[in-house]
Amino acid sequence: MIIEKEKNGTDLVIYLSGRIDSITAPNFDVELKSSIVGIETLTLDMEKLDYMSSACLRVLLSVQKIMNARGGMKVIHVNDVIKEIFDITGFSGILTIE
Amino acid sequence: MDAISAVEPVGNGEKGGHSVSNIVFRSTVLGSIIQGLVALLIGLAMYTFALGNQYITLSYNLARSASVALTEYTDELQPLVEKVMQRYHALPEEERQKTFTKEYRDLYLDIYADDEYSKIRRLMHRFLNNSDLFGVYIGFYDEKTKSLVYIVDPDDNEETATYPGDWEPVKDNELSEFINWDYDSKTYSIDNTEKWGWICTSGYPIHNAHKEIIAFVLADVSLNDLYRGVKSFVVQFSLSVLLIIILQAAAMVYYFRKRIVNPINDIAEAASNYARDKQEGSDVADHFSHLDFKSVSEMNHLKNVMSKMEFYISEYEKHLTDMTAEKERIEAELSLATRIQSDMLPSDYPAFPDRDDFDIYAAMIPAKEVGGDFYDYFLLDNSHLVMMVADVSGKGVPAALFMMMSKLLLRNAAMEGMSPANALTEVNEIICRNNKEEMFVTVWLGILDLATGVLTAANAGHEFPILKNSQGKYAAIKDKHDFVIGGMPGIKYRQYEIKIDPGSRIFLYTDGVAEATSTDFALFGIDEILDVLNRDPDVAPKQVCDAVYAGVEKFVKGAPQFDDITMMSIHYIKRYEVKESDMPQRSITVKSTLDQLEPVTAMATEFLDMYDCPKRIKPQICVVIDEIFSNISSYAYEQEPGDVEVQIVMNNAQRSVDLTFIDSGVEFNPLRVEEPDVSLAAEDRETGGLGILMVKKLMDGVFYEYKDNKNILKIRKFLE
Repeated sequence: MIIEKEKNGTDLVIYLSGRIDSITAPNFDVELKSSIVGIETLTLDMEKLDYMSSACLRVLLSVQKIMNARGGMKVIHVNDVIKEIFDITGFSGILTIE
Repeated sequence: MDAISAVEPVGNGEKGGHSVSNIVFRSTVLGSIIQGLVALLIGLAMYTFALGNQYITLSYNLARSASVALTEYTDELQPLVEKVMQRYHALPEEERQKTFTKEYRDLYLDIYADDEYSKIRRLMHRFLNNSDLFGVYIGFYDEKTKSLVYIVDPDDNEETATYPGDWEPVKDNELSEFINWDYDSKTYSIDNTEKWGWICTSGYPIHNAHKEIIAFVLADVSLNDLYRGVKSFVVQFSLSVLLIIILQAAAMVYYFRKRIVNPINDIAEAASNYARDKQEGSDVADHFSHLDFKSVSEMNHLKNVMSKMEFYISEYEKHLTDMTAEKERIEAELSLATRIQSDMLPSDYPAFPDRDDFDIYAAMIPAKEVGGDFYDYFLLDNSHLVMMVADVSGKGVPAALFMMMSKLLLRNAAMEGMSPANALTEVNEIICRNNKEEMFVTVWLGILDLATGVLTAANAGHEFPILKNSQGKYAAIKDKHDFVIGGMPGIKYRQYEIKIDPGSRIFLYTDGVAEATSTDFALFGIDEILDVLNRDPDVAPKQVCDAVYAGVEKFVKGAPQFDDITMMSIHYIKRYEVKESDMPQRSITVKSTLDQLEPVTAMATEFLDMYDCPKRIKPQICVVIDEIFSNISSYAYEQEPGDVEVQIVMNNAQRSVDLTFIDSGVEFNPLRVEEPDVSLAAEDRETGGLGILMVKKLMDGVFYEYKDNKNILKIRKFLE
């Protein structure tokens, strides 16, 4: 898992690549939550993300809840595999996927 | 060494033919005898001539001096001669024939008494006594009766004396010589008489005052002395010549023996020793150089030549020994190479004794000791039969070396699970990298899925395979040909699939079969192969190969085989029932800590890559592994982490992947976990149960059982 960030005022874009599984999800959780301090809108670019496990989903759900109280969060460039995971788990209804 | 034993040793006593000494002796003696004879004849002629002349002159001179002495008595002599001749002519012929008898002589009795007769006889007597003459007498040559009529003979010996009137016949030439006497030459005759032996008679006429010949004085000289002289001359001459001849021949023989015969014998003996030493295997290397014939240049030359010959022969032998050893070594290595090569080709039959769903037979008959053809077949797993037939360019050792490399590379590529096209592409790249000799190999590589009957094959410039479906006839498959292996780098080989039904047969071969050439340069050809195959299509693979080979043998009619002949026959008898143990699979046992997720995932992805897993499915399986493994690692073992075994199995027949997780932890059926409500809003959602949900949804089947204190969770995913 590699995370790259692009901050623009209170807007933050995070580029994810590799995979986020049970091993990397805790890091992702810490990293993400520290990054969104003072952030109003969060964008997660998943173009280079291969796949994610349920551990990642739990992080996403947790962050989504935080961002719901602020300007919001969206997920972009979702590949077929991840889109299917979002669909199966009902996350498609929770996340803003573009 | 057999050639040397054929040389008979030549001993001194075993010389065939005449010895040189003998020949020299004989030829010297013979030549000298001829010379001696000629000298003898010449000498004899000269001796005889000189001595004879001397005798003639002697008698002639006597006759002449007698004649001169008698000239004074012509008055007495002439009437005496006339009286005798009158009496002689008066006698009838028969009376005259009685000459030399007493009766005849009595007819002239009165003439003896004449004074003239006595006077002349006395004179004659004096002559006779004063000389060595054998006889001197007066005679008259009578032309009418061709006879010599004696007139006066002073001989006192009654035995030899003649009387007046006695006569002897005279030869014509003698008669004319005397009668026509020319005063210049000596008149003589030589006769061998009965009474006196060899005598020479010379005559000289007696003239009267009118220069008329009234009679002849005849002088006889005995040639018996001359004859005896000649005899002793011949004997003495011959003896001395013979002695000289023998001495000369002996000297020649001695000289020849010393200078020529002995050196020849020495060389012969040295050569005989040389032959014997060679035969006995002795390594004495110097048989000729000790000989010394400096005095005879030809002999010395012969000796030098022999010595050189010995040296060169021994050099040649050494060379030959080395060459023979080298040749034997090469032959031994070649036969070993042949064995290694044939050992490389599977040749134990039945090849797969525990399989009744297919039968295979293959054979390679090399044209030389080692060949360039090869074949191979092996089971990749229980349901995949790999078959290949290949032909390397060229023949002999180079082809065999190239064949070894190609075969190993192809087998390795196929064993790694590569598809035929990928295997050929890979091997081509490897070979092209180091192919300075520009050799190449044609290959037909096929993998038959014994469970489904799907034949996947690729053809790198090889002959068309021949296929017979269960109901049809053998026919060539005009498959896609790509370029030969080793010909050019960067080629992407193509493959094709054919589904064959149980009962089908495949026949593979090399150009040694298709291009077998008869003595009249006809090619066996694919039509002939098909003819042979279809003649008896339902026999076992071995019989198929035997029949084709017999067909080739019959066709070529004894022409030498110039290319390797390779054949492979496969009978696909029935579909193979795939058991789970047959399927390609991997498994790994790890501790149930979360950090072990990585090796498990790696094992699975590597395995999936090998079996062309679709791109979309691979991450799904990774997600599933993540969910299940993290679940086990969190909940199965309460105290210490325990073992987790993860299996992944590829079911090719139904194109599915089976994942199995086995742990010995607390009994736990994940399928019983209550599914979360995925329709709730984020604030209402719970985070549990999502993993299992994803597993169920992403996969096509999840089965759980608790058996032998083990949790066994099996997950299936179809790949298509």
